[in-house]
Amino acid sequence: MMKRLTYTALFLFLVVFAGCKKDDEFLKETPGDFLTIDNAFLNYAQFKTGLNELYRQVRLDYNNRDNGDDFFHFGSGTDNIFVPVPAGAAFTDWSLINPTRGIFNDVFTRHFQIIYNANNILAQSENPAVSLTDEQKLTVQAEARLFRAYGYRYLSYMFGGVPIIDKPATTPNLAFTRNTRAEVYDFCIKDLEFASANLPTTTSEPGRLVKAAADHYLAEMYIALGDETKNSSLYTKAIEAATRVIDGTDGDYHLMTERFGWRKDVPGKNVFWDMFQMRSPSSQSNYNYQSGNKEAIWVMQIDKFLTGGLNTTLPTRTDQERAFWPSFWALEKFGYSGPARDWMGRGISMVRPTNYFTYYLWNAADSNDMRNSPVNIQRVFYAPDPIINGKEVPNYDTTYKTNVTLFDGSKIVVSLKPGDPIKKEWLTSRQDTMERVFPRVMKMGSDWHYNGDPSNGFAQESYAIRLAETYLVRAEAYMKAGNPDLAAADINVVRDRAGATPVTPGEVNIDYILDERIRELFGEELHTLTLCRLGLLYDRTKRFGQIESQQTVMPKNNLMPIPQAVIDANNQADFPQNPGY
Amino acid sequence: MRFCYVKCLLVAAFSLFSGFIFAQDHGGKTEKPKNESFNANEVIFGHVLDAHEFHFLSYKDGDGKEDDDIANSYFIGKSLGAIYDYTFDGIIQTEDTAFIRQYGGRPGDIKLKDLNNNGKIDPDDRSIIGYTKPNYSLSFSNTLSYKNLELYFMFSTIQGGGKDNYYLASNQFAQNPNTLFAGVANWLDKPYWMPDHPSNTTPRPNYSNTYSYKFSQGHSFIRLQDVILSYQLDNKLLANTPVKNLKVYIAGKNLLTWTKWEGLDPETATTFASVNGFPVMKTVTFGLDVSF
Repeated sequence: MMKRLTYTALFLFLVVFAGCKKDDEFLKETPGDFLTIDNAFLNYAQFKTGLNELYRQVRLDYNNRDNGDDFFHFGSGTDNIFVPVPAGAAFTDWSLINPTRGIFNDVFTRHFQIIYNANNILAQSENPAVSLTDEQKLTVQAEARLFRAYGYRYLSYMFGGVPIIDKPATTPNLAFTRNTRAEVYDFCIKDLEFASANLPTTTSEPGRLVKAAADHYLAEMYIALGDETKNSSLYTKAIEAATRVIDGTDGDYHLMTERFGWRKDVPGKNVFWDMFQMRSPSSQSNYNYQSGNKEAIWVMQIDKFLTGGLNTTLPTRTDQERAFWPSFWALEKFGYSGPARDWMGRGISMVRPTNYFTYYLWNAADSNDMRNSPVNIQRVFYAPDPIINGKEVPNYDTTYKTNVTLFDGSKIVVSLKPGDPIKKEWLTSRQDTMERVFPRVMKMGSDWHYNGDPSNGFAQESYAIRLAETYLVRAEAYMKAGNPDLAAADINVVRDRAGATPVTPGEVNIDYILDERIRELFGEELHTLTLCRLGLLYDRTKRFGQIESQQTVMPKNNLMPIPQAVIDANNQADFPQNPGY
Repeated sequence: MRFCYVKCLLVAAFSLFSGFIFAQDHGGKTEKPKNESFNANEVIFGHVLDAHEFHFLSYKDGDGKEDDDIANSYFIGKSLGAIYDYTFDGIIQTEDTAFIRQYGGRPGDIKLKDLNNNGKIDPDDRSIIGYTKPNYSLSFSNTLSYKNLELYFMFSTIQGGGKDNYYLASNQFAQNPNTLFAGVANWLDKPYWMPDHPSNTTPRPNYSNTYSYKFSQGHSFIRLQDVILSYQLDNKLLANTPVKNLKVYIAGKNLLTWTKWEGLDPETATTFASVNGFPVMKTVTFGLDVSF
């Protein structure tokens, strides 16, 4: 009996402890029914799925929610656009910009998420359990590092120095400290150099990153680091990087000079117009390199009819048209009578071009500039055709009568036939000129909509990088390297295509380059980032902003405020706010 | 195209540490960890993975004193659920030109107190303005009988207020309706500040809440949660029937609520237009209770 008990005890002892070899292995969990980094990313297809999340996050910079604040980084409150409604809104009135404004937390968090996700992909790509060929591994790493650089580029331009984190966080840390802006720039450059060396020159997948994208950002960041560290040798490196994009080393790119794309036969339009045509109903894109647009370097992919082709936060459309276009369809005078029609688009003027953009930017002598032609900026609005029995009827003889109060207070009755222009002097209320009628930048919208529905039938891609910008980046580098002749030559490549008068080397300065950027890249580039990078947001706004912006902008606005939530959370170390906030 | 994987650790550590910290609330106060032993009645901090990382959370940034954790609303020596916000000081009036010159803003904006008197409204002007926790909750019920009639009722209440201002909840939608639908704010009938109709409590209709003020509001309430009136038929009258017992009653649930909360349900602090929110349903039941 005793013996049996002993044996039983011994047996149990062995059973209980037999499994324990090493503590580490014993404690290691192998998740069988949920995903972690370690089991989700094991082969190339899975890594590409992981990278797709990064493409999605970057796309949110161009289209996120139905919310005006999400468009602020296209330049709201600076020299090109402002927020017209209501009067005195934030990003027109700079005194309302402070660290608790939600949008700063949104973009700060989003770009650190990009960095975090990229870090995880990078760390996992080195895991021996992963089956990637050497070439695949380099491609994955190059893409992930470009995304990491993209995140840090955004953060350091907009907020100044931020903490550099180069691997996934595995322990909690409440003691992050800010690196200097130059350190962050340098970190980005190393990532971009790696990406430039290892990304393919071409891809069959529209929207996928290629070498030229890395070199474009690289050129810009060499300039940024050169400015920050007063090291002019970096401008030469910037020129080299941009040249690789321009001279064909990175692939066959050139500015589009001939009509192209699925609407190239629409009469009266021009090549600049072709460049911004929405995907055809049969999914032909005018934006993508793969479909013949040799100017497109990196395009945010949008497809209304494809799963994942739009954001979950804006699942039926994209919002450029709604944000940038005036709501002339809602005038309720001069023949306009309510719901938007297909050709009108359904703008709600979340942002509006400044007077500087609409008037002063376009030299009167330069009437040939294609970008300012009525095809691309509509400045005159006409009384529409009437709708009879639910259909728009052209050439119908009707008269619209509108009571108008002129500026001097006198009242008149305006009679218009369909097609008659609406004169400026009849538009006298704040709503008339701030919401309803202002120049319509045609590339931000479309004259037709899917299913004829202007409310939700708009879904347009966005250029993150277009070759025209690369020329302007190289022009900036040439100018800063003391070579205004070549700077002017680069600007003139862009101006020539538009049929604009060439610039002379003597006229080239940073103001001219910024003006040219607005003329060419309005609504495309994240203009606030450009101004913050150059430290000129205050200066340009003070001179060229809308009047309320001029009156309220302060030098501190050259950097945006660090979100207060970030500072509050980092309570184990000082995380200084940007000066002045 | 889309793919979601593990929750972003970095950002969790950056802006929201709840992935790492759990707190147990037994009505106590936040205190310094004492020699790493924890009293169940105090806030305790733990790491979900490793016990030895308690050290990490002992709140030292090298300046020798324990630090508050603003992001998670843990304040040394204070109750849990602290609301850390600016101090509301009325509405900027047209004649407050000196205030506007100093601090910016427009008539009809909310006026915040410059607590540290540094000449600007900045995050350092925030302080604990109250708590989300209630002072007490109470329910009271009784049955009153008179002859064959019986009346049962139950009141329940949760109360806040007091000198520490307990039982607050954010209520921007009601206090600053523009927060919900920017530009079309007047969907609530409120005494909005207007030049010809000054108010010192409600900002102008299109105020965009520049400082993300939470507009906290008390949601104490008293509710008549149950009331039942019943009539028991005399057994004598039933003597010649097969029925042994017959009772008629009418019962009401949540018939009356007294509260200053402007929203749907004060108990859960549900705001107007809240996505998942519903008001508390009132129910009236008529009943007949017969036994054979």
